[in-house]
Amino acid sequence: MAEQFPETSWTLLAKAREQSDQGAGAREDLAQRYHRPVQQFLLLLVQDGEQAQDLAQEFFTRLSGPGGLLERARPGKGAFRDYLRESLRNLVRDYYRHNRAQALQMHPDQASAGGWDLVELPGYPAAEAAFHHEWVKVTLAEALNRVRALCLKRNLQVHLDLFEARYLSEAEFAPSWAELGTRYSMDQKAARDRADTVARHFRLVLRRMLRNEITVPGGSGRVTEAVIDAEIKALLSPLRE
Amino acid sequence: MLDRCTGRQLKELLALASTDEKTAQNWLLEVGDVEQLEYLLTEMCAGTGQSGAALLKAVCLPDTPLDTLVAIKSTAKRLAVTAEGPRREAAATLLYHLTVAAALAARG
Repeated sequence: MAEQFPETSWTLLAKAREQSDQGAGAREDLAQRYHRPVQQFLLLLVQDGEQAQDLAQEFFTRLSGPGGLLERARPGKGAFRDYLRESLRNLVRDYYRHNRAQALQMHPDQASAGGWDLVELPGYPAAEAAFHHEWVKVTLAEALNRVRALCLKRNLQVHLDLFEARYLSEAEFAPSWAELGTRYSMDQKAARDRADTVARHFRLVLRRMLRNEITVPGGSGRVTEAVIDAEIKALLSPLRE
Repeated sequence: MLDRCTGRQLKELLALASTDEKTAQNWLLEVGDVEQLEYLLTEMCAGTGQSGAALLKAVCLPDTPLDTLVAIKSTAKRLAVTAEGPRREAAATLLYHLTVAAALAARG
């Protein structure tokens, strides 16, 4: 598969640090790619759409500003999504600390014994789950876009239609292979085989994307197939139905 | 494209990309994908004249005779022992447990 693959999160981050047109483009790409996970996370924590929007904007500004989050990011420290989520949590804590400081100035009697460092975020588990859900969606959508382009290039439109009808169906229960076969005038085995062809492309594309995203601690380790499977498992486990 | 996708669909797509048999196996059991189960059982029964769909249907019918359930249980056990790979083994094991459950439900 000799096609061009999208930038990995880390290479995009590295580019976004540059103060150039290319850097500006990379910052825009980053914001576009991760807007949904960031927005959903913030929305569940602050419970206010407008405020969440403002914080998301602030987050992406901070991400690329001088001395900002980009400069502290290190691939060797773990997955990019974990880094992004922790940075978001810190942003929300800062937001609450700031608001609390203002409140204390106006109402000093409300000072608690806990101090400013103890900012609890009761909505964090739900926000974390929403972030993960959106993150998986963004990743899969990117893989599916590439698979779609590949199928169209290879005249596999019917194969693609069958795959999408089966796996992306909005119905509560996906149509059976027999139903899909009837819809496309073929038997269920032929319908399944055609969709399986697309599934194989999807597997290759997604695994290659994940391989590019994964950084092995220390930077010198090889990304094996088992490591990619472990990453898929890490993406699968926290998902809720 | 995935705006309305449920967590279940996202899981299914991710499982498609996994080559880890255990992930695929867990997925099969978790999702209760009857078609997939039928497909695997039919593959395993190739050459015996039995179909996965027929076996499952017999197990799920309330009036299947106990003798038939016992025969299916033996088939399931044999399939599990001779299964090639965890996915097939999971399918056969699931059929085995279904048969036992069906027998218990019918006869107490």
